[in-house]
Amino acid sequence: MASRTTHFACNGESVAITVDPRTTAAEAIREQLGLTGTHVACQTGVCGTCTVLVDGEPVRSCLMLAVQLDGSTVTTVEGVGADHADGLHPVQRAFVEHHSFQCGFCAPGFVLSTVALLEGDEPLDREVIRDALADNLCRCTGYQAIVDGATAAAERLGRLDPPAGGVDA
Amino acid sequence: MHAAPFEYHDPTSLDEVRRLLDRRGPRPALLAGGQSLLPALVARSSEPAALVDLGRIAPLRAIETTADGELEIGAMARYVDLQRSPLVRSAAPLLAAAAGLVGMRAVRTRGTIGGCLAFADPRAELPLALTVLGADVTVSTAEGEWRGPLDDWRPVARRREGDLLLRIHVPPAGPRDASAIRETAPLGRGFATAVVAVRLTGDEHGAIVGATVAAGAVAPTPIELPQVAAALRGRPLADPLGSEAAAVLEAELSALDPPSDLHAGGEHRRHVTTVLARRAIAAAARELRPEGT
Amino acid sequence: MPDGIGERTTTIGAEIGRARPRGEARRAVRGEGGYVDDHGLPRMLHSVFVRSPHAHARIERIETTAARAMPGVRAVLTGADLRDEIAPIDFSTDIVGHRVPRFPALAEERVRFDGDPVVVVLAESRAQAADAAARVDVRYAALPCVLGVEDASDPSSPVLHAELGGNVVYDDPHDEHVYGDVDGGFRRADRIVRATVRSQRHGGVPLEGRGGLASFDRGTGELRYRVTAQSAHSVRHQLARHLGLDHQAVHVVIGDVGGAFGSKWSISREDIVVCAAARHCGRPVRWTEDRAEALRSAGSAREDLVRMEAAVTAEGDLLAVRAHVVMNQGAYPTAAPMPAIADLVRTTLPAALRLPAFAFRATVVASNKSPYFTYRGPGAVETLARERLLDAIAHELDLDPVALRLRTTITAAEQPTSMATGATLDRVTVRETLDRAIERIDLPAFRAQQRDGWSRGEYRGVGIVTSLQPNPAFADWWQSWGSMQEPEPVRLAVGPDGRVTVLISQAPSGQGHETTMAQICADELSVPFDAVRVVTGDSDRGAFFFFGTSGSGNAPMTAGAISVAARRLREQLEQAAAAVYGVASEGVRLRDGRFVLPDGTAVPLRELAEQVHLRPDRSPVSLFDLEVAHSFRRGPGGWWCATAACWADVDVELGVVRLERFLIVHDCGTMINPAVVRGQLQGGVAQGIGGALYEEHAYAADGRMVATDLHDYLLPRATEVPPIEVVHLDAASPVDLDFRGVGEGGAVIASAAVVQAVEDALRPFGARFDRLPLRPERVRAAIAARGTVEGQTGDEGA
Repeated sequence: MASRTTHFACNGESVAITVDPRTTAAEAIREQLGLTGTHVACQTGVCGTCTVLVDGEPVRSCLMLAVQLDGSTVTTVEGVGADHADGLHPVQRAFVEHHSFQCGFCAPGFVLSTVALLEGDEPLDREVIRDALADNLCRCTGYQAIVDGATAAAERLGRLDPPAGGVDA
Repeated sequence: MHAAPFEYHDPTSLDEVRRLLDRRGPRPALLAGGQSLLPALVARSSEPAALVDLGRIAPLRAIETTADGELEIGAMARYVDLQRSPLVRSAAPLLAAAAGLVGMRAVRTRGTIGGCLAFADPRAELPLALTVLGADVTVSTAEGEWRGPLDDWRPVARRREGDLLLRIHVPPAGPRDASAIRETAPLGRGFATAVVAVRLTGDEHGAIVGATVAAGAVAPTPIELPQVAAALRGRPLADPLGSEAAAVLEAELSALDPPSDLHAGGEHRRHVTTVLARRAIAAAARELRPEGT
Repeated sequence: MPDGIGERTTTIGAEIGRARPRGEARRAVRGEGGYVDDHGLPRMLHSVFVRSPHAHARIERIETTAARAMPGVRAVLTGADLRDEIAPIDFSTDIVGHRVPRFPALAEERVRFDGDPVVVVLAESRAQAADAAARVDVRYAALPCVLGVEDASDPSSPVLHAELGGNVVYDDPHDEHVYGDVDGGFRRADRIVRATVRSQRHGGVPLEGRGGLASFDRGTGELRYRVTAQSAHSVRHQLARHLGLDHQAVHVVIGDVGGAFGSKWSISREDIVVCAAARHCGRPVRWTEDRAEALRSAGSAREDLVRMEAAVTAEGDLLAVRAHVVMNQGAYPTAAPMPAIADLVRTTLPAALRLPAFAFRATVVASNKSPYFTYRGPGAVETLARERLLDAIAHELDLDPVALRLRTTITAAEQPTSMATGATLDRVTVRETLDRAIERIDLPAFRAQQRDGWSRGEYRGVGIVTSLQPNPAFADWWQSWGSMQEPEPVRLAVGPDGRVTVLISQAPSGQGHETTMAQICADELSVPFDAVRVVTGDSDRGAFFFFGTSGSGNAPMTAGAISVAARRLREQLEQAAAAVYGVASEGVRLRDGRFVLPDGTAVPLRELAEQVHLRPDRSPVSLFDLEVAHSFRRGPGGWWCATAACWADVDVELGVVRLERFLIVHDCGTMINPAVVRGQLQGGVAQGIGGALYEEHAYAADGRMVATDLHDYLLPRATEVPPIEVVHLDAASPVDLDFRGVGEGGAVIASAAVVQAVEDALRPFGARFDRLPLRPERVRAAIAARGTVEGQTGDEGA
């Protein structure tokens, strides 16, 4: 059907893409913008590997049409570490240090969900973080290391209240 | 896999939407939050010729209270909006709680109350909460606007062609109202196996003077349990479900024929509904008890 | 004597034993991973498969005219179209009694499971391919289907492959393997205890589905295939065979893999079709399966039925055990033979029990389901079955389950000894892991709290089980299994810049090989970690190795291979330096990337390497002196030993199980990277939890798959997986190169711990479970029945 041009900000840059309206946001991000860090794994909004931030909030890009991005501000995993030392946002750095991922396929989704969580103002502790991270699936790790990394990042960013606890494995 | 082709419209006014719905030809599908529609499009279980995106209709997002305290929620209000809104939290805490039960945060940032009601998944929490709260809806139809009880609009067979949900109206909670919603799902979150919502009104003597109880996931639409509600009236808040009211609950639920699926058979569904009803009733009653009891 | 071992003890240096963060992690968190769908080629076509919606049917007609006329479509290919280009799929073995059908890559006259691929559509875009696929019209005549193991064992069941004459594809030709005096054991028994375990069909489901990117160069006749898989050489070999190509003309590359767990070990039919399509169309072709496709057709595992009986004394000593396993292969074989999987059960079920006599029989049946693959710990039902049998014995003899395990597990003093099957048991520390676990658990305190909870309507329980895994065991275990351990090849080379390249034939999917194998090389060669680069997943650069990444083989085999090769290379380099710098070789030591010469001067390796490569005319040695190729046969051997404990809380009204805590105490010999070890165990445990409580590839009575999305195939989340504590018995073994595999053990042991914990919590009700998963309905039914219950509603199909 008739193509549409959609304009939005992506990782700090203005972009304009022309798409068949049935193109999902995930597809457009991956194939037209070439930002392949956002992954697709279930197409039903369950797994979270397609998570991006739209106007600061986590969304499933596989459940949005690309044309719905018009006028919004989008952040993908590629945009998260941009202004940080060594190209790693504190969340990304904490995940690396805590061995949080194995195959890496779920990592971008977790990075964005965690960044959104830590940039909000909801009071956080390890259990609240674990509960929030249940938004994203991982098939490799059993989640311990991911919760460790996210909690460490929260502590580093002064978002933990009260201070971290948890099992030392 | 991949959605089939469709015509895409993103009107900026309700008049434009109305024109698109009323024009000749196959009825377009309405795109609200997309959290239910997109999976259907991608799997090709739904192949509309045209899509009308409601995302640019600003008035549909509003959440307001009217002069008499009634809560007016635009159909495009999102789950997170319901969770966060101070108006919803004070006037209809059950609705805010129900919104919080919807699976994923990322789904709650896009999914809308209107989309939820239109999709009418029997397991959904919002329609159940609205049933208990006695909500009305305002609908735009080909013949003009219509307002009436949600229960009158809900059955798909009763909807008119080209209906567009505009607003949901919720009477305000009274000072002696308490509500609770309880569900159980195959995983901690996801589509509920069973879900029950309750609203109780208490008096200053520690008795229940009003009750509404409804169950989801056991029938195509939320089912009110009027016999249980009647049996609760007059009961003490300290022991809302004595043996008689409990027996009424069992009997009323045994008249239902809940569906079976991969996760639960009908009989199990019925049983856990009973358990959840008991727990929801107890929770609401606890909230109402005068302090110290 | 295992090669290369015994001359020097591994120095636990700066790297081995260090929880170094993985270098691969950086690209993962930055979204810079290179998974198949992230790659493209100019003029690439997208492919979509049309699949059977029927469990069993004849194909009467395939109409592709309308599809071929759709926009952007370049080809619509059926099995008939590709008959001259793809040989019939042949996974035959020389295993006596194993019946293997041959079948076309794309189904031609018959479809045998919901998801069987029939047609492939190739178009300019994925959307166009999907549009055209929807216009392919296949007419089927439905046939009766057969689903469960009992039905498929029945000779009157609908036959899937006419050439086999029936659905029993393997029936142990020995009728029974008998070890020791089994009949005598049963005659002498005080009691005979029976137990049945029925594990449900589940497994795999990595987040990245299957897929590949193929291109065929008509000029040179070479096929290039980038694929998400576990063995580049296995894929290469199967492609060459089935496409009639010279082995050297097939190049397979495996980049980042988004999880595999055994589901990507065998080549799939779609891989072969995609490569054939690239050749046929003269353009690159990419295939990426979606979730519904993956759930329907990527395969499954674990659908095993085990019937056991144990001859025991009144005190709980085991005199003999008989076990019969029936496994449900599904509609087609894969490259991993089912008899071999059944034999994993035979050769590990006795574990570390003091069991003098054992009889085992295996049957494998075909049914109208997707194929059974080698899911993480393919013989895992052996641990579930054995632990459930022990629990049944404890229950019948009124013994404490933990006490029974203490009584029946071999101790250090009894070793070396052997399993009834003949496999050597030495340095087996199952008993020690059990002791350590018990110490950490404080069972008496838990029991007191438990009793107290029961009186208040709270039901909490603990399950404690053990396991022994042949990762890698000893040579005689492999003999008892019926296979030889495949030697693993590695190549180490110092390049012109003095950096070391380690070429291995592994294809990791998160196990951390790029980092852990570099740690090994760095320590053994004595060079800085950052000077080492590990190359994986490239059929042109790694030497031929069919096995690839599977069977928890990386630690025992690849690490052993690199260790031995690095030791040889170090000596070689020291000799080369001696020749180049004109000194006696005994006085040269390579230390931390520099040659320390007899006079004390230190020359960087880089300098030597530069000279040898860039001024070969001036060099007394050649660049080949800076390389080693080695085929590693086996290390010192050893078993992975573990005890797992799981704490569960059951809401008895709703039937909901909540896991509170998980502990695993294990012995894997020397750990290379403790964080990687911990991650493998925790991840495996999470999958075992999924299998115990949530996951099922469920079929309806008409054979259609019911769970076609992740709302129905339930993967556990951070809220379902409890904190998992991992305790290593010892960080390092005194035995040289004693690396044992940990990839599979967590997945193998966890389900049994969960089931026992739930039964323990529900002891006041006497609830017993013999089938998985423990859905709320099953839990409630067992509570109500106060005993074992078969066949609940909600179990559609078989």
